[in-house]
Amino acid sequence: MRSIRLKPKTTPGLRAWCFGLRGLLFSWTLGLIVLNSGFGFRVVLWPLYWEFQKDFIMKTKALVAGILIAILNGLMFVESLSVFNVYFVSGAIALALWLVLKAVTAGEVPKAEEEAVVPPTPEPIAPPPAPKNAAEAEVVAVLASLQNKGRLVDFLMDDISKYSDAQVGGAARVVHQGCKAAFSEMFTVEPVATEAEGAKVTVPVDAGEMYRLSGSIKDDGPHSGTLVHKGWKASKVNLPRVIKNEDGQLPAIAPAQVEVK
Amino acid sequence: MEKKFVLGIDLGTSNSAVTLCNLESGESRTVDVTQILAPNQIGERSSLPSALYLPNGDEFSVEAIKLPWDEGGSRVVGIFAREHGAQVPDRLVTSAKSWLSNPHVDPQSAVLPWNSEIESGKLSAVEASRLYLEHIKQGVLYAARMEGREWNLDEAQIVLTVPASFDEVARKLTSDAALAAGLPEPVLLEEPQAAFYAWTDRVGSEWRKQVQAGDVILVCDVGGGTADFSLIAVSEQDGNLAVERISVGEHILLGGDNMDLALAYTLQAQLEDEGTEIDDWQFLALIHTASQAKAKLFEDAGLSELPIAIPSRGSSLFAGTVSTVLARETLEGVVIDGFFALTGADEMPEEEGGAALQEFGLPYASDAVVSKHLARFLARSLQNVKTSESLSALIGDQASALEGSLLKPTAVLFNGGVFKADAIRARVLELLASWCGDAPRELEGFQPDLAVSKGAASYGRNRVTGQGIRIRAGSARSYYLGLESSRPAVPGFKPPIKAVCVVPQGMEEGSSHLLEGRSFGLVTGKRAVFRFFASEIRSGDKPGDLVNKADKVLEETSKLEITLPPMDEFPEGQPIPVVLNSVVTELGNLELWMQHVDSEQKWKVEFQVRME
Repeated sequence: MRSIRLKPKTTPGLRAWCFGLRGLLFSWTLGLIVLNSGFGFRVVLWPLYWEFQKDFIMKTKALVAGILIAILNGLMFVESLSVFNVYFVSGAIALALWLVLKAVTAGEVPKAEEEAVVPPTPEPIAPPPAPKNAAEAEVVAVLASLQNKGRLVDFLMDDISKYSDAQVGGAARVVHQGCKAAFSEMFTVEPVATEAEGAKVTVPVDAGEMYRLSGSIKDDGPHSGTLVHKGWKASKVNLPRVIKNEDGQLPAIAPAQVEVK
Repeated sequence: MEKKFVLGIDLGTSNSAVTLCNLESGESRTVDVTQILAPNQIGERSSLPSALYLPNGDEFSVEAIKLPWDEGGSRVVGIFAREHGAQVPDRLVTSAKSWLSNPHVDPQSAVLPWNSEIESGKLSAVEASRLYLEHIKQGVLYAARMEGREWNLDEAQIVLTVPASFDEVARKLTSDAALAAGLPEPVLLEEPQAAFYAWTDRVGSEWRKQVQAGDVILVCDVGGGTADFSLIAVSEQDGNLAVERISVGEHILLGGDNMDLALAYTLQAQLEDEGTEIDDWQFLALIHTASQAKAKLFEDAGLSELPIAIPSRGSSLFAGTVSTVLARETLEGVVIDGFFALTGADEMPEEEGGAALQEFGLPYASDAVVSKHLARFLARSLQNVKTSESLSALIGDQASALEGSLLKPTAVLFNGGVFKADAIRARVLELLASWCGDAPRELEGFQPDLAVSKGAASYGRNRVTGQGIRIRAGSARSYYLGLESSRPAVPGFKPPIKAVCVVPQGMEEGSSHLLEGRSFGLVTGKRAVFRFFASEIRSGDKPGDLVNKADKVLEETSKLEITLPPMDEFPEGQPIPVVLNSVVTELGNLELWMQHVDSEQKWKVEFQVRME
């Protein structure tokens, strides 16, 4: 009679699980052997192996863990010890999980070390130090580019009231064509909502500030309504960078031009 | 050293681009090149205009035009160079690539900007090319560094594209410029071939379904400044499809820039008819605006006209802007009927004549009709294929292709910015249909601006991994050494020149040939000079074949020179018997050596820079 059962009553489902896990761990062990043999690692788990490879202690630990897993797996096949199977299985799983965890985190820690040991490049290129009013200077650079290609500042600074619609129209074409070219080099823009304006839409719950509601707004969403403006968002920004700026000075939006004869 | 990445570099006449293929990850993408956008402004663009500006001493401060990787101050390459230089032509170098193959001016002498009055800082076409390549190299390394990656160029497979029409001298100069720019072992690839590689890469394994054995593919590449044609034949070998480049065109300086210019002149005349005069600055703006309006009209077939507005240079935009209209009729008249006229199969481009005092600059095409240049190319291709049994056999299963006056392509692959316009592609297909009976089908290209650099990267990858397709190409031309015929001198009468074939067309990379039975006696310490000829239409010639009247039937490309160093084994003044050994290196460069008849000792023959 067994009054004390070290081995909990196994149902067929649990047994199948154990078998499945055993198979899994067996292949895991095999995988580790292959991994450490240095033969199949390129194909199998190259990045993982690479992380281990860089750190000698980690590699040793991984090896020991691998051997332990193998032993635990082997023990499961010894009939006389089958009562301890559940411990072997959980032990092996714990070790395996630990290994996986280490592998994942190892990817981060040694990276910093790796960067530290990389020999200094022959001519390291540091981004130029930012001047004090760098942010303003970069905004001016964007404006300069709109002025250069699309005469935007000329357009804004001229007195529009003196001219006929035909003249304004001609100038607007210059501005539109040039600014559009400059603008599309700097920004890739797409509509927020893909539906046609005027269509009934339901605002996505996680839309955040990408949508703005007006009218009578209920307490909780999702909100539905008519799309009045499809909205715009920048999917890519590629702004000119200022090389150097004197502290306290801003670059010209458009330089004064002189024709030398 | 093991190759870890490929750089496919399209060193263009007007724009350059570079694609990096990482061989470890398999990822391939165009590198955005950092460049000066305006004084004190830098940024990245997918292409680098092949333009170089030479600022005068105090025009810009050193910092204002300094790139992250250089000292700055002396030169500007890229967008700002082109934009600003357009208004200061004396200080702007453009089309350096065309100067590399200019038969009139030494590409190594510092003559650019051409016709400029600046006193210092002029440079040669080779040096300008080196600077563009140097900029591209640094741009790639910088972009990688910004992403935390350090590339070692010794681990790079460099592929540099050149026009198929470049002769050996221009190819070697390009290769030299790349070496001087610090790009090791550059492999040269013809641009139309690169476009084909880009196409196969894009359609993937489908390409074997889109073309069949017996197909003759015309690669029609019209870029900003040049038109470049090639024919590629598809055949079946051991159950697989094999592709071979069977013909290349001549160097034609005619491209999209000519079309924009023609359109701008037309609009200027139109403005004058309306009573408006424009100045030089406005004319530059007009070229630019006309080019954009052209693209827009071609893109949107529903538009019948587009307004054109040209600002004046002063700050008053409303008062100074002049307006006119570009009508679709005008556009089609100038671009489609002007450059792609429906000419006959036997209409050849007009040779320059008439004007006795021709300006001594770049040899621009004197006939602007691309159709006629295409007809000439196809006629010469037919002539070339007919001289060789092996080439004829490639297209033998459709004998009709060889009938008539020109070789009939069965498919067309378009490349170059000009062919972004559907209407122009349609017109070329219509033209070919009128010559061939059947319209060839179009192989759908992609991103005609960047395809060449992408294709170069694909080729480099195939070359390193040994996988994927390879176009059988070899030497695009056959080469000949001039021989003086021994006959009594007659005053006022030049003896005819005979030439012996030393490199057959299609001679493959990594092969060499010893010209048996014809030895030369060279005296040590004394310079020996030979005349050197080439032809792209004599594929049948074998090494050792003699060609009579070489100066008439062949093209003289360069002179060759060799000076044997004084040597102990040979007494001074005694001629050393040598034979010519021609080698096409693994990198695709042609080398000529003189080899001592009785030993393995050999000396390299140098190309002398060609001069008329």
